[in-house]
Amino acid sequence: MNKKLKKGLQDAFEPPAPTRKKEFLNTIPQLKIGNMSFLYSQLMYIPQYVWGVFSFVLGIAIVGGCFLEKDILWIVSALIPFVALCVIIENARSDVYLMSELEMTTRFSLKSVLLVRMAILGLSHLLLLFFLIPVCAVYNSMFIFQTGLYLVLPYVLTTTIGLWIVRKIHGTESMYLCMGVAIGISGMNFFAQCVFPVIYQMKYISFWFISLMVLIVLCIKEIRKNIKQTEELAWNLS
Amino acid sequence: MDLEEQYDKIYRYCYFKLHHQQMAEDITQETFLRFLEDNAYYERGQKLRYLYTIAHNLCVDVYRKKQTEPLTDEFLSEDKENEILTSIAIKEALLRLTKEEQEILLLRYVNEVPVSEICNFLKVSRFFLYRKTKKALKQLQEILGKEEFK
Repeated sequence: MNKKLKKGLQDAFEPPAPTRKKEFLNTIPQLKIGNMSFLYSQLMYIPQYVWGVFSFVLGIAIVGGCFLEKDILWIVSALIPFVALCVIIENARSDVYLMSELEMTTRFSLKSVLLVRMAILGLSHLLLLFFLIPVCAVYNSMFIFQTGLYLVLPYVLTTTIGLWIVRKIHGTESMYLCMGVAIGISGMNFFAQCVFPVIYQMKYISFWFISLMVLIVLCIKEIRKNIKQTEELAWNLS
Repeated sequence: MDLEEQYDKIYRYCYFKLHHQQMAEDITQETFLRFLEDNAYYERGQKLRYLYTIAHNLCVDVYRKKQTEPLTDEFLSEDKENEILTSIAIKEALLRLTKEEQEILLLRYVNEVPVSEICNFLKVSRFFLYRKTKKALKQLQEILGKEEFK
Protein backbone atom coordinates (compact mmCIF):
# COMPACT_ATOMS: atom_id res chain seq x y z
CA MET A 1 0.00 0.00 0.00
CA ASN A 2 1.09 3.54 -0.82
CA LYS A 3 2.89 4.92 2.25
CA LYS A 4 1.39 8.37 1.88
CA LEU A 5 -2.12 6.97 1.66
CA LYS A 6 -1.53 4.78 4.70
CA LYS A 7 -0.25 7.75 6.69
CA GLY A 8 -3.22 9.79 5.52
CA LEU A 9 -5.61 7.04 6.63
CA GLN A 10 -3.94 6.84 10.02
CA ASP A 11 -4.30 10.60 10.44
CA ALA A 12 -7.91 10.56 9.26
CA PHE A 13 -8.91 7.94 11.79
CA GLU A 14 -6.91 9.49 14.63
CA PRO A 15 -9.24 10.29 17.53
CA PRO A 16 -8.60 13.02 20.13
CA ALA A 17 -6.04 11.90 22.69
CA PRO A 18 -7.59 9.81 25.49
CA THR A 19 -7.70 11.63 28.79
CA ARG A 20 -7.94 8.80 31.32
CA LYS A 21 -5.72 6.15 29.75
CA LYS A 22 -2.83 6.12 32.22
CA GLU A 23 -5.08 6.14 35.28
CA PHE A 24 -7.08 3.26 33.88
CA LEU A 25 -4.08 1.14 32.88
CA ASN A 26 -2.57 1.65 36.33
CA THR A 27 -5.67 0.34 38.03
CA ILE A 28 -6.27 -2.81 36.03
CA PRO A 29 -4.76 -6.02 37.38
CA GLN A 30 -2.08 -8.06 35.61
CA LEU A 31 -3.46 -10.42 33.01
CA LYS A 32 -4.17 -13.78 34.58
CA ILE A 33 -2.86 -16.92 33.00
CA GLY A 34 -4.20 -20.42 33.54
CA ASN A 35 -2.09 -23.33 34.76
CA MET A 36 -2.23 -25.15 31.44
CA SER A 37 -1.24 -22.04 29.48
CA PHE A 38 1.65 -21.44 31.84
CA LEU A 39 2.74 -25.06 31.51
CA TYR A 40 2.52 -24.86 27.73
CA SER A 41 4.41 -21.56 27.59
CA GLN A 42 7.24 -23.05 29.68
CA LEU A 43 7.34 -26.20 27.57
CA MET A 44 8.31 -24.00 24.63
CA TYR A 45 11.29 -22.60 26.55
CA ILE A 46 12.88 -25.99 27.20
CA PRO A 47 15.85 -26.15 24.80
CA GLN A 48 15.92 -28.59 21.92
CA TYR A 49 19.02 -30.42 23.14
CA VAL A 50 17.05 -31.69 26.18
CA TRP A 51 14.63 -33.47 23.87
CA GLY A 52 17.59 -34.51 21.72
CA VAL A 53 19.24 -36.32 24.65
CA PHE A 54 15.87 -37.83 25.57
CA SER A 55 15.37 -39.16 22.03
CA PHE A 56 18.97 -40.35 21.77
CA VAL A 57 18.73 -42.51 24.91
CA LEU A 58 15.36 -43.81 23.81
CA GLY A 59 16.73 -44.61 20.35
CA ILE A 60 19.79 -46.37 21.79
CA ALA A 61 17.52 -48.50 23.99
CA ILE A 62 15.31 -49.49 21.07
CA VAL A 63 18.03 -50.06 18.46
CA GLY A 64 20.67 -51.33 20.92
CA GLY A 65 18.20 -53.78 22.44
CA CYS A 66 17.92 -55.59 19.11
CA PHE A 67 21.69 -55.94 18.53
CA LEU A 68 23.43 -55.81 21.90
CA GLU A 69 20.85 -57.55 24.06
CA LYS A 70 22.58 -58.15 27.45
CA ASP A 71 24.92 -55.17 27.20
CA ILE A 72 22.10 -52.71 26.68
CA LEU A 73 21.47 -52.33 30.43
CA TRP A 74 25.01 -51.11 31.04
CA ILE A 75 24.97 -48.80 28.06
CA VAL A 76 21.65 -47.25 29.07
CA SER A 77 22.79 -47.11 32.68
CA ALA A 78 25.92 -45.24 31.54
CA LEU A 79 23.80 -42.80 29.52
CA ILE A 80 21.29 -42.08 32.28
CA PRO A 81 23.57 -39.56 34.09
CA PHE A 82 23.45 -37.40 30.94
CA VAL A 83 19.66 -37.41 31.03
CA ALA A 84 19.89 -36.21 34.64
CA LEU A 85 22.48 -33.63 33.57
CA CYS A 86 19.85 -32.01 31.32
CA VAL A 87 17.65 -31.41 34.36
CA ILE A 88 20.50 -29.88 36.34
CA ILE A 89 21.63 -27.58 33.52
CA GLU A 90 18.05 -26.47 32.89
CA ASN A 91 17.61 -25.86 36.61
CA ALA A 92 20.74 -23.73 36.73
CA ARG A 93 20.29 -21.93 33.37
CA SER A 94 19.29 -18.57 34.88
CA ASP A 95 22.18 -18.76 37.29
CA VAL A 96 24.68 -19.73 34.58
CA TYR A 97 23.73 -16.63 32.57
CA LEU A 98 23.67 -14.52 35.76
CA MET A 99 19.99 -13.68 35.27
CA SER A 100 18.54 -15.36 38.36
CA GLU A 101 18.38 -12.21 40.50
CA LEU A 102 16.45 -10.39 37.79
CA GLU A 103 14.13 -13.33 37.13
CA MET A 104 13.22 -13.56 40.81
CA THR A 105 11.37 -10.26 40.50
CA THR A 106 9.65 -10.76 37.18
CA ARG A 107 5.93 -11.36 36.61
CA PHE A 108 6.40 -15.12 36.68
CA SER A 109 8.99 -15.60 39.36
CA LEU A 110 12.00 -17.82 38.81
CA LYS A 111 10.62 -20.17 41.43
CA SER A 112 7.36 -20.86 39.58
CA VAL A 113 9.10 -21.05 36.20
CA LEU A 114 11.65 -23.55 37.50
CA LEU A 115 9.04 -25.65 39.27
CA VAL A 116 6.99 -25.94 36.09
CA ARG A 117 10.00 -26.74 33.91
CA MET A 118 11.28 -29.32 36.39
CA ALA A 119 7.82 -30.87 36.53
CA ILE A 120 7.78 -31.18 32.73
CA LEU A 121 11.28 -32.66 32.59
CA GLY A 122 10.68 -34.91 35.61
CA LEU A 123 7.52 -36.29 34.07
CA SER A 124 9.14 -36.89 30.70
CA HIS A 125 12.13 -38.63 32.34
CA LEU A 126 9.77 -40.75 34.40
CA LEU A 127 8.09 -41.87 31.19
CA LEU A 128 11.51 -42.57 29.69
CA LEU A 129 12.46 -44.73 32.67
CA PHE A 130 9.12 -46.54 32.53
CA PHE A 131 10.02 -47.51 29.00
CA LEU A 132 13.73 -48.24 29.55
CA ILE A 133 13.38 -50.41 32.65
CA PRO A 134 11.18 -53.13 31.08
CA VAL A 135 13.22 -53.05 27.83
CA CYS A 136 16.50 -53.57 29.71
CA ALA A 137 14.92 -56.13 32.04
CA VAL A 138 13.73 -58.23 29.10
CA TYR A 139 17.12 -58.30 27.35
CA ASN A 140 19.09 -58.92 30.58
CA SER A 141 16.77 -61.56 32.05
CA MET A 142 16.66 -59.59 35.30
CA PHE A 143 13.82 -58.60 37.57
CA ILE A 144 12.21 -55.30 36.76
CA PHE A 145 12.94 -54.11 40.31
CA GLN A 146 16.64 -54.96 39.98
CA THR A 147 16.93 -53.27 36.57
CA GLY A 148 15.06 -50.26 37.92
CA LEU A 149 17.61 -49.90 40.72
CA TYR A 150 20.55 -50.01 38.29
CA LEU A 151 19.00 -47.32 36.12
CA VAL A 152 17.40 -45.03 38.69
CA LEU A 153 20.38 -44.93 41.06
CA PRO A 154 22.82 -43.20 38.64
CA TYR A 155 20.02 -40.78 37.71
CA VAL A 156 19.28 -39.82 41.31
CA LEU A 157 23.00 -39.71 42.17
CA THR A 158 23.75 -37.31 39.30
CA THR A 159 20.74 -35.17 40.17
CA THR A 160 21.62 -34.94 43.86
CA ILE A 161 25.28 -34.04 43.32
CA GLY A 162 24.33 -31.67 40.49
CA LEU A 163 21.76 -29.86 42.60
CA TRP A 164 24.27 -29.51 45.40
CA ILE A 165 26.83 -28.06 42.98
CA VAL A 166 24.46 -25.51 41.42
CA ARG A 167 23.35 -24.43 44.89
CA LYS A 168 26.90 -23.89 46.12
CA ILE A 169 28.68 -22.67 42.98
CA HIS A 170 27.31 -19.94 40.70
CA GLY A 171 27.96 -19.10 37.09
CA THR A 172 29.34 -21.18 34.24
CA GLU A 173 31.68 -23.17 36.52
CA SER A 174 28.74 -25.00 38.03
CA MET A 175 27.68 -26.21 34.58
CA TYR A 176 31.16 -27.61 33.80
CA LEU A 177 31.34 -29.28 37.20
CA CYS A 178 27.95 -30.92 36.64
CA MET A 179 29.13 -32.17 33.26
CA GLY A 180 32.21 -33.60 34.98
CA VAL A 181 30.03 -35.32 37.56
CA ALA A 182 27.78 -36.83 34.88
CA ILE A 183 30.78 -38.09 32.92
CA GLY A 184 32.33 -39.44 36.14
CA ILE A 185 29.19 -41.33 37.19
CA SER A 186 28.72 -42.66 33.69
CA GLY A 187 32.34 -43.86 33.55
CA MET A 188 32.15 -45.28 37.07
CA ASN A 189 29.07 -47.23 36.08
CA PHE A 190 30.81 -48.74 33.10
CA PHE A 191 34.00 -49.35 35.06
CA ALA A 192 32.14 -51.11 37.88
CA GLN A 193 30.37 -53.35 35.39
CA CYS A 194 33.67 -54.35 33.76
CA VAL A 195 35.91 -54.65 36.85
CA PHE A 196 33.52 -55.47 39.71
CA PRO A 197 30.55 -57.20 38.09
CA VAL A 198 30.06 -58.92 41.42
CA ILE A 199 28.28 -55.83 42.84
CA TYR A 200 25.45 -56.39 40.37
CA GLN A 201 24.67 -59.80 41.83
CA MET A 202 21.35 -60.43 43.53
CA LYS A 203 22.92 -60.70 47.02
CA TYR A 204 23.90 -57.02 46.92
CA ILE A 205 20.44 -55.84 45.95
CA SER A 206 19.70 -54.63 49.51
CA PHE A 207 22.83 -52.44 49.36
CA TRP A 208 21.59 -50.89 46.09
CA PHE A 209 18.13 -50.38 47.53
CA ILE A 210 19.36 -48.69 50.72
CA SER A 211 21.71 -46.49 48.68
CA LEU A 212 18.83 -45.44 46.43
CA MET A 213 16.60 -44.60 49.41
CA VAL A 214 19.37 -42.51 51.02
CA LEU A 215 19.97 -40.72 47.72
CA ILE A 216 16.25 -40.02 47.23
CA VAL A 217 16.09 -38.43 50.70
CA LEU A 218 19.20 -36.35 49.95
CA CYS A 219 17.78 -35.39 46.54
CA ILE A 220 14.49 -34.20 48.08
CA LYS A 221 16.46 -32.16 50.62
CA GLU A 222 18.53 -30.60 47.82
CA ILE A 223 15.39 -29.82 45.78
CA ARG A 224 13.87 -28.06 48.82
CA LYS A 225 17.04 -26.06 49.42
CA ASN A 226 17.20 -25.12 45.72
CA ILE A 227 13.57 -23.96 45.75
CA LYS A 228 14.24 -21.90 48.86
CA GLN A 229 17.17 -20.25 47.10
CA THR A 230 14.91 -19.10 44.28
CA GLU A 231 12.25 -17.49 46.51
CA GLU A 232 10.88 -14.26 45.15
CA LEU A 233 12.82 -11.14 45.93
CA ALA A 234 10.87 -8.26 47.38
CA TRP A 235 12.06 -4.80 46.37
CA ASN A 236 12.94 -2.60 49.27
CA LEU A 237 11.50 0.73 48.20
CA SER A 238 11.82 2.50 51.53
CA MET B 1 -0.47 -8.56 24.35
CA ASP B 2 0.53 -4.95 24.89
CA LEU B 3 -2.42 -3.45 26.75
CA GLU B 4 -1.32 0.13 26.21
CA GLU B 5 -1.09 -0.36 22.44
CA GLN B 6 -4.40 -2.18 22.31
CA TYR B 7 -6.04 0.51 24.45
CA ASP B 8 -5.22 3.09 21.77
CA LYS B 9 -6.48 0.84 18.99
CA ILE B 10 -9.74 -0.06 20.70
CA TYR B 11 -10.26 3.58 21.63
CA ARG B 12 -9.71 4.53 17.97
CA TYR B 13 -12.22 1.90 16.91
CA CYS B 14 -14.81 3.07 19.48
CA TYR B 15 -14.31 6.67 18.45
CA PHE B 16 -14.86 5.68 14.83
CA LYS B 17 -18.12 4.05 15.86
CA LEU B 18 -19.39 6.70 18.29
CA HIS B 19 -17.74 10.00 17.28
CA HIS B 20 -17.76 10.98 20.94
CA GLN B 21 -14.54 11.22 22.90
CA GLN B 22 -15.82 10.59 26.42
CA MET B 23 -18.15 7.85 25.39
CA ALA B 24 -15.47 6.18 23.28
CA GLU B 25 -13.13 6.19 26.24
CA ASP B 26 -15.80 4.81 28.57
CA ILE B 27 -16.54 2.00 26.15
CA THR B 28 -12.82 1.28 25.71
CA GLN B 29 -12.36 0.92 29.45
CA GLU B 30 -15.49 -1.19 29.78
CA THR B 31 -14.20 -3.41 26.96
CA PHE B 32 -10.94 -4.05 28.77
CA LEU B 33 -12.66 -4.66 32.10
CA ARG B 34 -14.92 -7.27 30.52
CA PHE B 35 -12.03 -8.83 28.63
CA LEU B 36 -9.90 -9.12 31.74
CA GLU B 37 -12.79 -10.23 33.93
CA ASP B 38 -13.21 -13.49 32.07
CA ASN B 39 -10.06 -15.59 31.94
CA ALA B 40 -11.60 -17.67 29.19
CA TYR B 41 -11.13 -14.86 26.65
CA TYR B 42 -7.44 -14.83 27.30
CA GLU B 43 -7.10 -18.60 27.42
CA ARG B 44 -8.89 -19.39 24.18
CA GLY B 45 -6.60 -17.34 21.95
CA GLN B 46 -7.86 -14.92 19.29
CA LYS B 47 -7.63 -12.21 21.91
CA LEU B 48 -7.99 -9.39 19.38
CA ARG B 49 -11.18 -10.90 18.01
CA TYR B 50 -12.67 -10.97 21.51
CA LEU B 51 -11.56 -7.43 22.24
CA TYR B 52 -13.10 -6.05 19.04
CA THR B 53 -16.26 -8.10 19.49
CA ILE B 54 -16.78 -6.76 23.02
CA ALA B 55 -16.07 -3.20 21.86
CA HIS B 56 -18.44 -3.59 18.90
CA ASN B 57 -21.25 -4.99 21.06
CA LEU B 58 -20.84 -2.21 23.61
CA CYS B 59 -20.95 0.40 20.85
CA VAL B 60 -24.14 -1.18 19.50
CA ASP B 61 -25.65 -0.98 23.00
CA VAL B 62 -24.82 2.72 23.10
CA TYR B 63 -26.48 3.23 19.69
CA ARG B 64 -29.66 1.63 20.98
CA LYS B 65 -29.75 3.57 24.25
CA LYS B 66 -29.07 6.91 22.60
CA GLN B 67 -31.79 6.78 19.99
CA THR B 68 -32.81 10.33 20.74
CA GLU B 69 -29.36 11.52 19.78
CA PRO B 70 -28.72 9.78 16.48
CA LEU B 71 -25.14 9.69 15.41
CA THR B 72 -24.38 12.00 12.60
CA ASP B 73 -22.73 10.85 9.42
CA GLU B 74 -20.04 13.37 9.95
CA PHE B 75 -16.73 11.64 10.17
CA LEU B 76 -14.68 14.62 11.25
CA SER B 77 -14.25 15.44 14.93
CA GLU B 78 -14.57 18.95 16.23
CA ASP B 79 -11.14 18.83 17.66
CA LYS B 80 -9.43 21.70 15.90
CA GLU B 81 -5.98 20.50 16.73
CA ASN B 82 -6.70 17.18 15.13
CA GLU B 83 -8.24 18.88 12.13
CA ILE B 84 -4.93 20.51 11.37
CA LEU B 85 -2.95 17.35 11.82
CA THR B 86 -5.09 15.11 9.67
CA SER B 87 -5.49 15.15 5.99
CA ILE B 88 -8.81 16.77 5.10
CA ALA B 89 -8.75 15.36 1.62
CA ILE B 90 -8.55 11.77 2.84
CA LYS B 91 -11.20 12.39 5.49
CA GLU B 92 -13.61 13.69 2.89
CA ALA B 93 -12.81 10.83 0.57
CA LEU B 94 -13.44 8.36 3.37
CA LEU B 95 -16.88 9.87 3.94
CA ARG B 96 -17.85 8.75 0.46
CA LEU B 97 -17.10 5.14 1.30
CA THR B 98 -19.61 2.94 3.11
CA LYS B 99 -19.32 2.46 6.86
CA GLU B 100 -18.34 -1.15 6.29
CA GLU B 101 -15.51 -0.14 3.95
CA GLN B 102 -14.31 2.49 6.40
CA GLU B 103 -14.33 -0.10 9.18
CA ILE B 104 -12.30 -2.54 7.09
CA LEU B 105 -9.72 0.12 6.25
CA LEU B 106 -9.48 1.16 9.89
CA LEU B 107 -8.98 -2.40 11.10
CA ARG B 108 -6.63 -3.44 8.30
CA TYR B 109 -4.39 -0.39 7.78
CA VAL B 110 -4.71 1.76 10.87
CA ASN B 111 -5.13 -0.71 13.71
CA GLU B 112 -3.16 -3.34 11.77
CA VAL B 113 -5.34 -6.22 12.93
CA PRO B 114 -4.27 -9.52 11.28
CA VAL B 115 -6.48 -10.59 8.36
CA SER B 116 -7.53 -13.83 10.08
CA GLU B 117 -8.70 -11.89 13.16
CA ILE B 118 -10.68 -9.41 11.01
CA CYS B 119 -12.35 -12.29 9.15
CA ASN B 120 -13.33 -13.94 12.43
CA PHE B 121 -14.55 -10.69 13.93
CA LEU B 122 -16.57 -9.56 10.89
CA LYS B 123 -17.58 -13.16 10.13
CA VAL B 124 -16.52 -12.91 6.49
CA SER B 125 -14.23 -15.01 4.30
CA ARG B 126 -10.67 -14.03 3.42
CA PHE B 127 -11.69 -13.68 -0.19
CA PHE B 128 -14.54 -11.31 0.70
CA LEU B 129 -12.24 -9.21 2.85
CA TYR B 130 -9.59 -9.07 0.15
CA ARG B 131 -12.16 -8.04 -2.46
CA LYS B 132 -13.74 -5.41 -0.19
CA THR B 133 -10.37 -3.95 0.79
CA LYS B 134 -9.22 -3.76 -2.81
CA LYS B 135 -12.46 -2.12 -3.88
CA ALA B 136 -12.38 0.41 -1.03
CA LEU B 137 -8.77 1.34 -1.75
CA LYS B 138 -9.43 1.70 -5.46
CA GLN B 139 -12.44 3.88 -4.77
CA LEU B 140 -10.47 5.98 -2.31
CA GLN B 141 -7.67 6.48 -4.81
CA GLU B 142 -10.15 7.42 -7.52
CA ILE B 143 -11.83 10.01 -5.28
CA LEU B 144 -8.51 11.46 -4.28
CA GLY B 145 -7.47 11.39 -7.90
CA LYS B 146 -3.87 12.21 -7.15
CA GLU B 147 -0.96 10.26 -8.56
CA GLU B 148 0.89 10.42 -5.27
CA PHE B 149 -1.73 8.21 -3.60
CA LYS B 150 -1.55 5.50 -6.26
